[in-house]
Amino acid sequence: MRNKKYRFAMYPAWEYRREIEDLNALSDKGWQLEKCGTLHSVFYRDESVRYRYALDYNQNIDDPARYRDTFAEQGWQFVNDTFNGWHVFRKRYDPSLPPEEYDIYTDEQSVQDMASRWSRLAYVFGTIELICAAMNLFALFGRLSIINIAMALVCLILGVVILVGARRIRRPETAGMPRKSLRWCFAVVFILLALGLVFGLNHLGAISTSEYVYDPDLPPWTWEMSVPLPDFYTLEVEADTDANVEITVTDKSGAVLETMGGGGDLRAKETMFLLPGKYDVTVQYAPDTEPGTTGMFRFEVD
Amino acid sequence: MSKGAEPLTESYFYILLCLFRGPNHGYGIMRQALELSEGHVRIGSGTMYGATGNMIKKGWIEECPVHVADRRRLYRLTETGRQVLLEEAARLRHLAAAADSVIEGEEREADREEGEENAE
Repeated sequence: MRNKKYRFAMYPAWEYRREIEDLNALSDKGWQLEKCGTLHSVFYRDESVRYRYALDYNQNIDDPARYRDTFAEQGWQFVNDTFNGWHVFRKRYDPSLPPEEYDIYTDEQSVQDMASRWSRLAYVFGTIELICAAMNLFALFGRLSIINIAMALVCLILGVVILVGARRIRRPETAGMPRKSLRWCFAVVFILLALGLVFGLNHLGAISTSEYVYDPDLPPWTWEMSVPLPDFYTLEVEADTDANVEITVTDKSGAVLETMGGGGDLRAKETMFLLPGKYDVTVQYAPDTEPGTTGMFRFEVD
Repeated sequence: MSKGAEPLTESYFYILLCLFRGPNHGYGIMRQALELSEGHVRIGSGTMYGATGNMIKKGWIEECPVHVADRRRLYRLTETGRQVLLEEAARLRHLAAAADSVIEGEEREADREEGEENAE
């Protein structure tokens, strides 16, 4: 039989009572906590003891020695603490003692004090997330892109979950958010983050500048651009010429997706949704143009 | 009652009370509070650390300078803490007396009415 067990489980702060219950149940089955982490915990095998656990959230302990001593006095052994301010204690289980023996906060005031230490921080983080969501949404007005949609959703979901959690940690009776829905939330956030990363790297930008002299015997000038991922792309065109020109974006089947045209100094910007593949940006002089007319063209895709 | 004083929580009250007769350590306070309250008030370690820390800050109690080898820290009441406890005890007696005068008066009345009904 194995002597070590690694358990990957993430409990949001407001589920700390459930985490304690799970740790106690594992201890009853002979798995004793060695190190409790935010994402994963380590257990060792020992069937000769049973422990009861306590989790305390306290980021600013003014007197760490007095803190540990105060717990040690009542039989609490320190297990470990986490980087984000949680302290884990255990006490040998004695079934003859009342269950209150294993509570570290024994009056409503101190239970609420611990909850508000956490929720104060959560309100700040949740609000920051919502501000980020709003900023990403505003960015969409300037330029449609999948990364901004993904990030806006991630920030919105995280912000709402954290703010709901900040309220829930204060009320033990409603602390149980359905585990399944929370898992779904995290799964969606993870997928969106991955999407955001992929699409964030996608926008490297391509620029093409060229001088093009009109010759009716030659086919129109084209610039081929390749699109790696489906997304919204913006094509920016700057044309300096005396003639009338028409610029079209076509896919490989020849379907025209976008047309920009005009005479003289053309400045145009179009956003379009493109699927992966190759596209042609074609510059066509108007038929009545004098042969030999020149033009400077600059294209930028992002 | 002194300016800005608020009712103490039971934990605060019992901690001060358990230091009234002399220095005591956290575990001693916990046992004595359980005894005095006939098992109703149990002060867990987290509550104890928070309450003692707060009261040290407020200057109601202090840690005795001698550090005991068995890691048990002794606390003692300061003069301010003593005053706070006495004022709180007076306030509670006052509350209890007010409650008695109303509730007992009501019960006497109820008894009398009951007596009259029985007499009829």
